[in-house]
Amino acid sequence: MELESSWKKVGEGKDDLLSALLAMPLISKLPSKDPLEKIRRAILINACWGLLIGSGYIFVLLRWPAWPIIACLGIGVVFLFMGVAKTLVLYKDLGKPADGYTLLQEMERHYHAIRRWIHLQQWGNLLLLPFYLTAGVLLGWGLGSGQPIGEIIQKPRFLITLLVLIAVAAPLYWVLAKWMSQKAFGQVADRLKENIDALKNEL
Amino acid sequence: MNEKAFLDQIRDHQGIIYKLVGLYAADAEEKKDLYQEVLLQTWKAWPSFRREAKFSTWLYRVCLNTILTQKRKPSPIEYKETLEQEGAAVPHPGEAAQDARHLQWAIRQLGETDRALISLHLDGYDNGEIAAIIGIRNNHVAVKLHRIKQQLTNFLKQS
Repeated sequence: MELESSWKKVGEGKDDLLSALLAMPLISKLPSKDPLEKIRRAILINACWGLLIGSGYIFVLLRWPAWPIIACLGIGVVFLFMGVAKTLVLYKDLGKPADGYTLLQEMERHYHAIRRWIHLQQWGNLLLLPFYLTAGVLLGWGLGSGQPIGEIIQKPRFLITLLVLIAVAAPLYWVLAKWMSQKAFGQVADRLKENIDALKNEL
Repeated sequence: MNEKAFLDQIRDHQGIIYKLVGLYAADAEEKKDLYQEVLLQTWKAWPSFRREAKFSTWLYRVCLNTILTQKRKPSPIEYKETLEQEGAAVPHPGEAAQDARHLQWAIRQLGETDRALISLHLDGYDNGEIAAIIGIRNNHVAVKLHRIKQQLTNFLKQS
């Protein structure tokens, strides 16, 4: 069998599906399942939520200005807005046109974008979780019992409750975040990694 | 360039899209998705096409980029199913068409990146051009192609 001529023959085939798509007048309106576009959308939604939640925290800070709340939520808000800024930079980077990239570079670009996004989501929220929980427990306890926050923070029961909450919520959050990100983009990332390794492997 | 002119250009080279998507799509649904995505990505990338390379080379690169970065389902497909699909697609029945179908099946048995390399090679790109499109070293392409051809020969003997 002459491989080149057989391959040329393959290219002479026609597919009705492709012909129908080429006959459509609005190619730019075709639906896209590009994982990078999906990540960009998710990033934008996430940044909007971050801004909204951050504004909510600022409202709480102003409404209940006790120092433990200010400390915990203050740290939370600063890191939250830093995360939003980082997310928006990533959003901008992903929007850059892909022209001029080789196949390997393009696959690496997609792979690293997906991994950076997953990493940012998982670690950012996990590190802020104790601060949010502390502020939440203090506020809930204070509003529920009517006790001043300065008094609650000195109670051993508060510390135990907080530690138990963190011990339960942190691993639960971690497992859930890992599962969700793997479900959303993990498979695409795994397949890209396989192909990147296959191209780089010289054996 | 307007959309009609773009589509005319693509229509002249649709064999590239047809061949490449046919090597990677795991089923009819994914085939449709990949066709759509390839057309959309080529349309988006079109303004940045600087005409330094041939249109076919540019299209090849965008197609492979799109397919390999967006393919979601594992392949290859079952042999029987593949032959039925190719039977419907190849217009001239006979020994040559049979060979074309067997070759397409055999390429589908290769790894995903190996399919990209061999399709470029069979379409007449030299090792330097393949290295520039894929992003690996020239001698690395030669080594890989040698191994891929051996695999392909074995698959063709099996079929």
